[in-house]
Amino acid sequence: MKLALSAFFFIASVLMQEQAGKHFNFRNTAVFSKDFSEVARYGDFWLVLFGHRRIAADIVFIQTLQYYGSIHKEEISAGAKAEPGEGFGTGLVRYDKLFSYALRSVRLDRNFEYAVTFTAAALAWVQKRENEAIALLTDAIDYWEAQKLDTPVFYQSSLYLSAIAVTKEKGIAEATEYMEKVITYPDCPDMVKNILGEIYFRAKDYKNAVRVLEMNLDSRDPNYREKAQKKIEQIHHLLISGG
Amino acid sequence: MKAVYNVAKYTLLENARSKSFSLSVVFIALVFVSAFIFARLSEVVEIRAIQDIGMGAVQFFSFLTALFFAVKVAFVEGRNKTIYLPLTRPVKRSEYIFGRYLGIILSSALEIAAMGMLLTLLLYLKQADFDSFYFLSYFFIFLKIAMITAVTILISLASTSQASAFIFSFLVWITGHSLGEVEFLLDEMSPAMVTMVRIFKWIFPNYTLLNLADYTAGRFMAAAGYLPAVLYAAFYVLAVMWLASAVFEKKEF
Repeated sequence: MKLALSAFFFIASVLMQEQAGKHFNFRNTAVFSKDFSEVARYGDFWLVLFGHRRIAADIVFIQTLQYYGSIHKEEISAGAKAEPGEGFGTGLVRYDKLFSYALRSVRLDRNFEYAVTFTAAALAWVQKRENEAIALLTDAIDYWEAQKLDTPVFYQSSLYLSAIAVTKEKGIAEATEYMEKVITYPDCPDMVKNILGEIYFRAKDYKNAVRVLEMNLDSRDPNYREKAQKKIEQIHHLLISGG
Repeated sequence: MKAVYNVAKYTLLENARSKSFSLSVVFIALVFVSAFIFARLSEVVEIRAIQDIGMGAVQFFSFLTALFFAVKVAFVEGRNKTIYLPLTRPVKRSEYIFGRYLGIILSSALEIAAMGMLLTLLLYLKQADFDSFYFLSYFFIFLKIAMITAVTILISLASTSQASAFIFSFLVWITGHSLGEVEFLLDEMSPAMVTMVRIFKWIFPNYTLLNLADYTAGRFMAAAGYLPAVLYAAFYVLAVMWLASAVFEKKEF
């Protein structure tokens, strides 16, 4: 009797499993796929096999931020002289591994759009490597489009792709239309607001520069707070002196 | 039914007094330390990292405690002869094993709820947005724990040592998470291998269907898939527990 009941529920569980499997509409990159194995490290596999993909992706993204936030002497651009604190955001350090770090993070967790947009912005607008940024965004967007989602939900990446494609073809000053849309998202990186503010400043569009830079006055990153504060003060001085 | 309830109640009280719950203290420490560590990151990354590490810890610690309690039921109690006392009373063996199982999963439910509330409070203080998928993730963690608890009880009844019961249960946990990862290879496999993978998917708990915590953005499964996934877990537990009950019936202590 007990074995018969066990067999009955086992068959029921198999049927339900098949039924639930039909409704999957979003899957992450499979661990044993070529896409995953070409970027992943040993530790990533273990975390995924224990059911902690998102943690693995978070760890890689935090490593990306650490990598991008420090100077690597072996990656300093030829002829450039970097002092401590100068590396991040100045373009002096090449950050050669930035693309592969981001690819690893997003292939671990395909829902991690922030990792894609942040790194694409850094690659395109700070490191001036638009091709890598486009490759990263295309990898993410192509993957999402191949899923069975009813409605596309990754709008930001498409906006970044448009903005970066325009930057590549016509220069960064022409990309402001798309960047304006990008900064309306609450999770837009402070780096992008800082870059857009700088573009307006260079174009002497001080009103828009102040509007955008003010968004960074309450940034968690003291560097961006300080940069925004200084730039706004500079604009005030320029306006007072008639510059 | 009354006997099942009494055994479950006794198990719940026994587990509540157990030192295994002190693992939750490690959870509290881990979550609060992560909150401090990630405070310098942007809000998006900070909230995401706290939520992921917190939820991962909820899952891992509840898995460990469930494993410990489940192994204890069949193995430790048999070794210490404490199992004789309830079995000399008018309690059927099947009632005993189902009662024990129910007690363990109720303990796990309480543990998950307690850790979940703490994590939710911390995220609320960090001004995180919550959606239904966030809360549903805890329920799916519970389903995963319910499945592994049943499997561990079955393994413990059949194994010869506590260590082997732990090791096999860990392997089942890993296999359960790997099944979905193997699926994409089916096109490249021989028909015999495809059949073998399918049978493995039926025998082992398929956690790919229940790992909502890894897809908290909700991009995972269409709404119509949730009920079959829950029923799958429930039927799987019943199948394993009736089998465990049959094994327990024949076991000599």
